[in-house]
Amino acid sequence: MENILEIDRLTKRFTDWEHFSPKSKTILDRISLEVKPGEIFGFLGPNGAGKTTTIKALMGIIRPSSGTARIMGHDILEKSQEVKKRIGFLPENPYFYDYLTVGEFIRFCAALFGITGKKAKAKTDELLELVGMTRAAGLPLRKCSKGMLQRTGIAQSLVNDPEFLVWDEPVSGLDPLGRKEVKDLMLELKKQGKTIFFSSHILPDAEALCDRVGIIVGGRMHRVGTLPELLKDSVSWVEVVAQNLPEGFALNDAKVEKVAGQLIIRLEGPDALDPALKKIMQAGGSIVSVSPQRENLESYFTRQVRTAKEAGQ
Amino acid sequence: MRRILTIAVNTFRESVRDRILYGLIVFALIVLPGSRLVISLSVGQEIRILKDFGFGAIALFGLLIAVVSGTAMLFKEMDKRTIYVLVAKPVKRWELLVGKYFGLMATLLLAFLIMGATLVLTLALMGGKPDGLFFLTIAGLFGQLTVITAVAMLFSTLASPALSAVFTFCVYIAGTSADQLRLFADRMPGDLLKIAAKAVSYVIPNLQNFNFRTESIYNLPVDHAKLWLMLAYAVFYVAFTLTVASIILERKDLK
Amino acid sequence: MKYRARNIIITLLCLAVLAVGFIAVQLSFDQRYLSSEKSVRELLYFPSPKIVKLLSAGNELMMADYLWLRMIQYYAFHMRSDQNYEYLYPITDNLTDLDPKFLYPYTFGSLLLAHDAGDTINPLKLLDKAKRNNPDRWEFPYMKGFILYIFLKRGDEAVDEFVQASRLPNAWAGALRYAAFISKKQGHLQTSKMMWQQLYDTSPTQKEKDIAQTYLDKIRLEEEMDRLQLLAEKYRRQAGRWPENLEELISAGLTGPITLDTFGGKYYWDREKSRVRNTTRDEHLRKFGK
Repeated sequence: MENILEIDRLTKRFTDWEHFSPKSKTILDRISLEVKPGEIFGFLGPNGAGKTTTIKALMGIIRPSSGTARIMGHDILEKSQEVKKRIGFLPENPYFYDYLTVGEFIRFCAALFGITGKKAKAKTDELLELVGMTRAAGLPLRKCSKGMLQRTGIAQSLVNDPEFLVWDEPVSGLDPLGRKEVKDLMLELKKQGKTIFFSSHILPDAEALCDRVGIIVGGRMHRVGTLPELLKDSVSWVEVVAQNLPEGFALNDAKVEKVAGQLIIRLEGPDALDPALKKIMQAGGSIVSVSPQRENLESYFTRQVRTAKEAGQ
Repeated sequence: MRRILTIAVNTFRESVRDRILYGLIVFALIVLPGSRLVISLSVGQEIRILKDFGFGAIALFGLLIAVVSGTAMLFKEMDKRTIYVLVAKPVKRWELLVGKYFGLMATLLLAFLIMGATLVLTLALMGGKPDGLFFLTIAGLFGQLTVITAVAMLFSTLASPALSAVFTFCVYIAGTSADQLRLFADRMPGDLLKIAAKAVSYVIPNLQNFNFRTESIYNLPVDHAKLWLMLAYAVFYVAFTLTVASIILERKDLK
Repeated sequence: MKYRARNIIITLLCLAVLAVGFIAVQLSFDQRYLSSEKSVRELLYFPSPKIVKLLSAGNELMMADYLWLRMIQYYAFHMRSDQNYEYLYPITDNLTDLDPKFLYPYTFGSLLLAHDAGDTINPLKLLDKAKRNNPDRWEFPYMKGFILYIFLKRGDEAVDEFVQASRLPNAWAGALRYAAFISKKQGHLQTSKMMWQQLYDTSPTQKEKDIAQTYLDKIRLEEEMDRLQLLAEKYRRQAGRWPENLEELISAGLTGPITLDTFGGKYYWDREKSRVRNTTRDEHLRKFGK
């Protein structure tokens, strides 16, 4: 099956006319990645890395300087109407026509897809229920909170029951409950066979949701791959929590920290586990817990970004 | 086609809910009866003066609405980023433009109906009778605005609303004298200037084509052919202008 | 890429068609409706000067200037086409209402009305208004006298006007002179000639000079005819008969060569009526019957 999204050396240059001397800034530098059908792909990067710019280019809001991208096989420059009928887009910090109510806006979006009348009303109700905005249907968008706008945004991106979703910061502005709801929704949509490409700052969420991720830093793609692939180089250690150990208990090659009457021992590498356990038992201590730890995406990410920045990006 | 209609309806809704429009209409409603005050300063010819004044007021307010809304329309979409949502929908940019144009024309139509009715009422109270020519004149004023609105939208794809508004007003003023320019063109020194002057006089909208004020005041006969020509002119000119605007919009980066 | 090239071509074609469309319609408009006429009606449409004064808040003079330009354009257009000047007076009237002290429209307008349009009433109305609004200017009674005398042949009234003019500050001395000549009822031709010559010498525009020149040429023509007639009578006294043709006058030594008149016409002898005739004059008689 072909990739839902293929980006090939997408570049965007922008001329900065400050101080009367035009300077060419490269915002995106040969970005490449693919999104396979049915997967959730996380597009991650620090602020200003170019996530939103990339998405804008994909959606035809701005024109790329060079490189190509294909959505469902169609070049984005074609701006194919067929493709647009099968995708849903949620922009970052969405703004809507503030003179419309939530319901009117969703119906407007539906009308653009040719869904009108009773069908439109049914669809609107269904979507509003899905995002928990049923009671707010008659509220003017002008009066909605950020969270409500975000939910409305999600709803409008689903109006046409699209196969492919492009969401820029989908959980921004939502409280923890809201975030959970969205995450659950994303998993549900994936179960329905949809493909989701989203950008985010919130890495733990990405870790939980994504099949594959792409990290972009300073306009360049840094790493692309599945989480296991990315994290296989990452550091892993074992954390042992023990108590009733005598004062001054120490282990070689291990960090020992005393917290509330317990000792938290960090062993570098799983091989050190058995000898350490033996030593603890011999010292008369009791094991509270043993947890193998892996560097999580967040710290991996931070490390990667730092490395990239040091490499002068 | 349906998409254009959807956008047009939406635009109409936007204008109607926009407070500026109300402000202008209310103002017009005050001014039109206020013309009675002006009339009291003249001796004789009250009906003519009322018509004079009334047509002028309608033309002016119509122009204000057309220019203010027309130039702000696209800018608002882009400035407020509301256009992002539309971009991923199967709506072409030209459909957006055309939809907004028709939505705005619908709004103007409403404004004209209100102002026209007010004038008719005022006229009737003074013992005057609005005849066919009267309505034709108002229709002509509306015709001018179909063309000017298109020009306003064209400028709005290129410049900020304030600048576009200024340009559009200038075009309106130039447009009322376009035929004069054509006559003067022959007197220009040098062939290049002659050709340039003639070219400009064709490119700017010839608003006199829509002007029936003189016929109305002096009760002169109206040639039917003129009406058809007027319609044809509006259609061609508006189509041309909106096409150019669409092309510009298509190639624009929407920040 | 081919898709895009095709698109571009189609779009350009559409634009071209539409442009041709509205330009063609415009041309059709122009053909049908003499723009000048339209624009003149526009002029007429001008709301009454009172309203304009009210609304222009001090810009009436500019409006008057604008109307002045339009008036000239109107005159020029009709002079070259149909010589129909029916709106000339209303425009000038309107214009001078807006700016009663704008002097030139009064004099130029009244001259054009009298000469080109053959109007016998409105030039006088215009000049009366001029006098009312500008009682200190000698030019207006002078012009009125001029028109009364030259075009309307109302000598007595003309004298009154000239006398009036001569009493106003800075009046040209000739005004009184004319009053004198006319009241003495000297040869109509001589006075007229003097007045046209003065106009020719003092007028600032070529247009007025041309008019004056035309009249001077006409007068010269009449003078020449009179001169030749006198010579013909002299010939008759000497030879006992009328000459067969004007060449006999030359061979009899009574006159030098007889040239064509300034309009290109010939002088000739009418044997039937025993009078000197002229082709230009004949032409004129045929056209205007006088």
